[in-house]
Amino acid sequence: MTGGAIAITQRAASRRRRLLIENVQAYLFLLPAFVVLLVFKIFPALYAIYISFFKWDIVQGAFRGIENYTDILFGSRAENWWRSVSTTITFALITVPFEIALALVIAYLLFQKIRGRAVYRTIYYLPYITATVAAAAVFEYLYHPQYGILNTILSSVGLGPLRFLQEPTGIFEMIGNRFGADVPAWAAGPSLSLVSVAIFSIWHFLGFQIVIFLGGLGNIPVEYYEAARLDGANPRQVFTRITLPLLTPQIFFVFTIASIGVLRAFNEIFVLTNGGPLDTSRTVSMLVFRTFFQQGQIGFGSAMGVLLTLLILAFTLVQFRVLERRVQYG
Amino acid sequence: MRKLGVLFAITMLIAACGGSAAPSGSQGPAATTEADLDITGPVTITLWHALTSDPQKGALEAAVKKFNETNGKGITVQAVVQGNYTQLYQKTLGAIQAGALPELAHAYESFVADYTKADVVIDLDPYVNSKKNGLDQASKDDIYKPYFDTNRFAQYGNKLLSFPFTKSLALMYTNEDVLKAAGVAVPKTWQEWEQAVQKATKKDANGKTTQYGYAGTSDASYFNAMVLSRGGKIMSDDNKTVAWDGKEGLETLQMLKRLYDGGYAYTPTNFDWQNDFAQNKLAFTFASTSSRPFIAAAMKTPVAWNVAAPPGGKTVMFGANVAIFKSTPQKQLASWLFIKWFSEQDNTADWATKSYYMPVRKSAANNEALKTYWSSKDPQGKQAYDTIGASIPEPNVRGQQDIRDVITNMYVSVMTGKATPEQAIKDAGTKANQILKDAQ
Repeated sequence: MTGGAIAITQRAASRRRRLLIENVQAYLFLLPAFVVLLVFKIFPALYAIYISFFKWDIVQGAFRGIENYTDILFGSRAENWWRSVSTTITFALITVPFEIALALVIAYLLFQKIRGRAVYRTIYYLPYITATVAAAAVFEYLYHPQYGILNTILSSVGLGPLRFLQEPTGIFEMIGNRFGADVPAWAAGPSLSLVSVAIFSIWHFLGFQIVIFLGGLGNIPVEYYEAARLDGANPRQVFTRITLPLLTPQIFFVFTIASIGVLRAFNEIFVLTNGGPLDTSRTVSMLVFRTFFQQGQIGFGSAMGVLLTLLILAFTLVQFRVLERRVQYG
Repeated sequence: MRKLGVLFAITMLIAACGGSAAPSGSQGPAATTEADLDITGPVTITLWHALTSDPQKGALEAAVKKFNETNGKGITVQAVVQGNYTQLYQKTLGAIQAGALPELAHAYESFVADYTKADVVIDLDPYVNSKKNGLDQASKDDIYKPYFDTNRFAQYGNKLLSFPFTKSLALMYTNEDVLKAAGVAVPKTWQEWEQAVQKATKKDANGKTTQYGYAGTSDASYFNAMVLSRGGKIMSDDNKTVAWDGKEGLETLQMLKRLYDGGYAYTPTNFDWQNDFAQNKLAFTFASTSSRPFIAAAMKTPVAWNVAAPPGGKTVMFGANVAIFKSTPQKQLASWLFIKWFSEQDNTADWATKSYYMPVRKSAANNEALKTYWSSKDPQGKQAYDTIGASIPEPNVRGQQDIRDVITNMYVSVMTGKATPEQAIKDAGTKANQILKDAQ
């Protein structure tokens, strides 16, 4: 063995040592965050899974294996569970697409060089930073059956009054009834109450999405627009051929965030309808809350929580699989 | 994921101490002997409660201060507010799992039923009946019987597991000015009441209601109160089936349905009925006696109004109680002595003048300060007090919370035209009986 080889081994060893120290340092820096995550997120999540295998009615009872899950999915709890899953998905379907379309349009308008742009941007962002509960309380009064401004407007054009948050009837059924048509139960549509909550939800989260879209719009190089204009593209073509494709990363992001947000929405529903009327706005998170906290059925509640997590996970995975392929990065 | 994270975090807190058992029963009461002890040294006990705002919060703190200063046994009570009733319930459930309960907690009957399932609540009978520390016969007779009834739990051997604390009643609020303007007398039967509601309603030229006769929430208690006042019952005698689904319940639903359909009644949003009522835009509603101060505060000009049991004279008892958790014999006794002190004639009377809650004793009406307070500031308080004897506790069986939801849904489905009264009450009764069966 030559001296040179020894030197190389020594250098390698010292490099390894340095690497080790660096690694240890890195993990030390990660430790505080990791401990917080472990204590407040990971452990509780795992513990909820543990609880979900037991009959846990106020106090821990017998081990039930997956029976809590089978009861929820196929047994005694199935009716309520699937109903709230369906309500949750309906809520997502009426909220997310409108939210994104509206945010996109408003962001596009706010991106134009208009007078008072900064003021408008602030105004549109305000709902998002308003406390959900306070804003929801205000909406309760907009929707008020007697004194609400919405009913005042509706009656001035000869419609209404509507019960809004107190109305369990499906919106298609209501429209049908107005024209004297008999709408079958399966086509009744989401209750006006759920739609009213969705409208609040759209209003409340719009600002956040507008900001994301504004960021995305700012990232699109001006040269593309100039080139398009030189080639004689009209504004519509510019929007559909340049703006929209180049915004797909933001649209995808907003779609994912909004879907997750809506699937686990709680505060606004709790304040506006508390799951009623006739359970037509009892989404899964409302059902979990009721089972867990109001009925003290901790085992069932935890199992429902786990299922909700899986539901959101599945939803997000599908989004990634189906939509990410269509995203164009730059 | 944040919401779920919070849920899990709470789960974890609840489960923090490994879960299974509540504080062990080893210190539980060997009844008579423990209730007959003396307080041998300074004892500090904690009371968790849900009185989040004044005047109730301040009134309780003042009472606690007075007890601490005057009990002469070295007992110190610490009153700690734990948020509203739902939060209090959640925290207490968490404390059960963690083995970190306070000595005393403010609780509704349904909470006590749940806590007892975890075997953490002490039986108060030995304390009440203790020759040394209990209530004498005169006191037992002085405290309204329904207040004892509501704290006896049939499903737990009819034990007295909590004690009346922040009591109120479900009563009918009548705006006499509105009735007078409509030219109707105060109704004495439900039939007269229905007519009075109709006559007190005002409509504009288009038939749109501008002033309603009745504001009714879908809260199960008011339906129950109406059933009781018609002579019906809420539960069967053996507590195995509900009884509100009979003739009286059906008549109640049918009557309300007529009022809603005719544009004479509406479902209020939160507490907006209080403004309507205080501004002569509403004739009748049903509400807790604790709404009195809010009505008074909402009045811009003086209004003649009263509270009373609905036609028929029976109604539902409201309000929460206080339970003692298993701890040490000294602390349990100290807790009981505080509760007992709180229910003494002058103290319960003082409480009534400051908190708007009902006093628990008949003799409180002899208290000069309370008499003056009623006559000068709160005549409706006296009216409410006079109906305590006619109040009936709602069932405290497990499953009752779910049954309340069933009643609410029945009510909403009838009033919004989703079901006929006949069909709705039949379905609701079947559902409720199934809940009772499952909760056995």
